[in-house]
Amino acid sequence: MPPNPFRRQPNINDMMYPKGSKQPKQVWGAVMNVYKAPVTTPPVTPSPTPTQTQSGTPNPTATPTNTPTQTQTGTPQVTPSPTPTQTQSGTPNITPSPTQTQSGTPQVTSTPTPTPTQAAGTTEARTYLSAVVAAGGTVNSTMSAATITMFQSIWSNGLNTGMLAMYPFIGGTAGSHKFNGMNPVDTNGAYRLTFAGGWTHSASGATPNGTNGVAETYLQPNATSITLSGGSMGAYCGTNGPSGAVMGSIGDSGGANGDGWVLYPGLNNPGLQEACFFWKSDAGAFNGSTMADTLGLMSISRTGTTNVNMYRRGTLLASVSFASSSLTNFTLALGARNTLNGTPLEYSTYRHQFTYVHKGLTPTQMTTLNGIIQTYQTSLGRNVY
Amino acid sequence: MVQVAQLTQTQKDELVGQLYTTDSYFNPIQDCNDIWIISTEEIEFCDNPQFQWVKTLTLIDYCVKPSLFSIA
Repeated sequence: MPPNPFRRQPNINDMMYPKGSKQPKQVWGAVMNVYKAPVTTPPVTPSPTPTQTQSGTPNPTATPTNTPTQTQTGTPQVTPSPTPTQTQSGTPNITPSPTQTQSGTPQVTSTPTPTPTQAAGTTEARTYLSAVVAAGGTVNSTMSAATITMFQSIWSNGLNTGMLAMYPFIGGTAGSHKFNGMNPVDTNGAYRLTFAGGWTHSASGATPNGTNGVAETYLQPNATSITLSGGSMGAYCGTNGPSGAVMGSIGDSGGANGDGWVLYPGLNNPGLQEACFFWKSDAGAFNGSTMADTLGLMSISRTGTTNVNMYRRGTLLASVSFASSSLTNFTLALGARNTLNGTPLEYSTYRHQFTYVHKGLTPTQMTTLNGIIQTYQTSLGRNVY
Repeated sequence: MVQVAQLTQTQKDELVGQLYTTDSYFNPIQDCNDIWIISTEEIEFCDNPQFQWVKTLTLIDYCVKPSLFSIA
């Protein structure tokens, strides 16, 4: 029998629901539901929504979406938190994405990173201590704690601002004593010390021999942020000189002694307290009072264009009027002073236990620094008064 | 009296810029008689194999060379 050419073609209902089967009222609705289903399945749609990042898809476009919902703002240290396996597995690029806060893993937002809780100066102290140890210095827990406390105190009192160099002299070796705590890098530009001649290094500090022992700081005042009206330097002296320069330099811009600064305590001889700090072509004597010793923090400071002050243990010892005209172009030396012809002079035997160079400490700041350093030396068991 | 070790000009030239131990350089200077000298500390702490000869140097009394640029 030939096929009926007028027979009705089967429609989709006939194909989906053969005769005898149960047919829903809305066939197309069922069809549409079939297509709607994938829409609700997250893996299908490659949109860069936060949901996508949870699927483990390493889509780099989702990585930089640092939305305001992140709680790690300002604390990138969260990344290496102790819960690395939670949501970032296999997708390290997604680490900073919003998925961290949306993953329901409270450890991410509550992970205590060290940075926010550390007092200012702690990081700098640890960096310095690491350099000391790497250079072969001996640092025990007491020394480490004392050093961290000292750095924190300097930072909390704002004395780090303007501090160009400070040498804590711990570790007991030339290699460990050479580092500038403000920038403990082994370069001249970091004001790392270079020792020459006779020095004795120990846990107590660094002692020049008074004959040819000198340490070059590479700190050239006229090439730093030190100004004509601001500059301080000093050292916690562990021994009495009794003569010579604790530290200093005198340049060659004029006059018999050039322009410069020298810490020359002149123990028991006020006439020799020519601890000049004048930035001009003239030397002047403090002619301060006789002091029993030069032990502890000895400093000179200029915080204006007129007066230069000399301090012993944070207390004003003498003051003298010197106008300033130019900064010395000679680098600062410890254990002696660099001088006009480039040769160190006035070698001394003052033991350095903490030495610093600052842009200018006020009398109040000088007292504060003295307290911090005396506490530091006491904690180290090497205080001398 | 402080004792120091006497150097010849040649010895002085050989030591300038050289380490006698880690992070410590020789520093030859002239005394009041223009004799080149180094200190006993440089000799004592010298562990540089190249310069062990400094331990055989003659010791003399040290006198400071006067300077026009001394403060005091």
